[in-house]
Amino acid sequence: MSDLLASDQLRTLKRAWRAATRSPEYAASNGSPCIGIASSFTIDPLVPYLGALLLAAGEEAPGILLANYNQVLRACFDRASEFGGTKLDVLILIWRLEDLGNPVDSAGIRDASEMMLRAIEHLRADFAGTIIIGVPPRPRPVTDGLVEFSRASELTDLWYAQLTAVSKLTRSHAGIYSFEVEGLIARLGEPSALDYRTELLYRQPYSEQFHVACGEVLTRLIGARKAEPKKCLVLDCDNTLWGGVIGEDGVGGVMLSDDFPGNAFRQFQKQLVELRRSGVFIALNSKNNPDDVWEMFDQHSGMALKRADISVAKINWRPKSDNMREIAKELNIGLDSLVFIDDNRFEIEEVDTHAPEVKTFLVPEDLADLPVVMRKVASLFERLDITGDDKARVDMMHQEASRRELAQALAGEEFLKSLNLEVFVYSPSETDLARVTQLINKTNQFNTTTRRYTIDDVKAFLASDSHDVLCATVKDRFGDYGLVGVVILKHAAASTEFDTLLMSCRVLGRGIETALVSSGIRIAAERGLNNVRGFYIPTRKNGLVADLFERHGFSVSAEEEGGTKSTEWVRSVEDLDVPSFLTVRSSRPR
Amino acid sequence: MSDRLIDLFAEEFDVGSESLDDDSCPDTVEQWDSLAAVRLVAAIEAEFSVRLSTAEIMKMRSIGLARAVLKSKGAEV
Repeated sequence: MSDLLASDQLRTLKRAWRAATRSPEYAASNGSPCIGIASSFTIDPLVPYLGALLLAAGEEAPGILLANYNQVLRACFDRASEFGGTKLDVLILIWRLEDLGNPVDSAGIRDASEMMLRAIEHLRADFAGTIIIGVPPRPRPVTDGLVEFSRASELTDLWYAQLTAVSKLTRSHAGIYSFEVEGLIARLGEPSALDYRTELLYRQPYSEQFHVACGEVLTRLIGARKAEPKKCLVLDCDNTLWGGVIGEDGVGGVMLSDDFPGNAFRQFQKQLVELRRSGVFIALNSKNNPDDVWEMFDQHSGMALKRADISVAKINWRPKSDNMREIAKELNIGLDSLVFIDDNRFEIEEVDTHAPEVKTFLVPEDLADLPVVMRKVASLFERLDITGDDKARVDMMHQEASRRELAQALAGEEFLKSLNLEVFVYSPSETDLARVTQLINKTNQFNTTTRRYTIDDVKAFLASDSHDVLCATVKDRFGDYGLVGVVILKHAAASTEFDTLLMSCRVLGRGIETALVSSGIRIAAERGLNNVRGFYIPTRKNGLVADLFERHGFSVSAEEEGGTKSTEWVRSVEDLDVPSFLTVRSSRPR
Repeated sequence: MSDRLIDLFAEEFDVGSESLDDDSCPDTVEQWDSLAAVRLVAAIEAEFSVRLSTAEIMKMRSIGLARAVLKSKGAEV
């Protein structure tokens, strides 16, 4: 595809993007398509190239947003933290295995790369747009070499495993596509693709050339998202399907064998058969004597393409553009669904002029280039997605499956352990009160009583001897979830009551609620009380916490008949164990 | 008279050439952040057909210092 570009070509691209983003029309648009990129390394130079190439490909105002450096997982789990409120159409994820951990710690990298795949499944369930994965390149740790061969090969094994896993992921989910970073590096050559200086200085491992090539691939993928795939491949015969002219050379004289150049045509025919099997119509459009052509099909043993593979044949002396219209009509498809290959420049021009909807390709002068042309041709027939209703249905099925998978994954202790979860439960200070009050007044789902209080109420509870207010902040290895939980305790003579127990759904499934309950129990015990009580007041939205007290060793002490059907729960103050994957601290985070 | 190096910096920072001189450095130019620095390396190498070492890249803490590095490599600046 792309050879190395000269420096002025690079600059032209960058300037085109800069000029476009400066225009008032661009400023007024939100960016369409809106593309988010998250990468485990510095990838900023990609932006102007991708932008300019998208513009050149006919996108009017593409928007490109970069996630923070090395926040690929975060971008999957919490898009808003990386891209704000912008609705993305496409999210591109690019990572290197060696960025996921210490290069020689292959166990750590294995865990991290597995988590990456789970994160992408989570994203698929949670995100309506297109996901594009840059398949991680072969790890190139600094220690890679003969001496380190055993270690290097462990990493290589991991890489193979990751390749297989990513490929499975793209096949089993709608709307996940991938491109091979290693392929890009191979095409450009390591010296042109990698830049160790910028890697050392800025953690930017790739060169400008690489970023251009990456932009080209992405532009194609992004464009193919909505391009209608072609349906019919129309072929000339002489010097296209075989070498030579059947009308002059005869069946015995044309070139179609195991030797050059006949083998090039054979190879080409085999590719045509593959396309045919994938559902593409094959048609002939040739200026020839029909009997000669069919004789070739019927009698030449080298013909991989069979007569039965041909859906429509227009073998006559009329203008080829007229034949194109006939072919489209007979197949009941649009003229713009046709792709045409011919070795004659004149015929190509005739079709370009009189049936410009047809996409045309000239058989290359050097037959060695034929596979390259054919790859381009084949890509036009690729369907990235099933369209319409099917797509919606398939998507929904996949989302449901992914949700279940994720639920299992989230429940897995191993996964939770790997998060290094820490919860800080403490009495809020002045600066926390706004957030505490906000949670009290907006949390509907994970909220046992849904009691609303003003900031002054909260202050009064804090000042009162008969109340305690606790808030919870959560962190894990990927970052800070912020203040996500609130407990208000009301102390009576014999017991402490959970007046309020609520949590943001952001941290669901991480055992945080257990830390909250446990902290309340401890406070009651410290006050010398024997029991803790809790109320569950059902609302339309808080079914999530119906069994919260039961799960933490409470039993029902009173049940309201009719009306709201509130339940009162009671439990002794003996210690409640929090899950082992969770570290509870009774101070505010530093 | 226009100056290739100043023009190049001006384009990368998206400011007018007249606002820059050899004393311009990350402290005086708001746009000269770490990301601009990455872009500058690529732009300078392309414009002057040189290849900079990490040491040279790190030396370029002002336009004047960048000019000195380029001169030492025989570039016409």
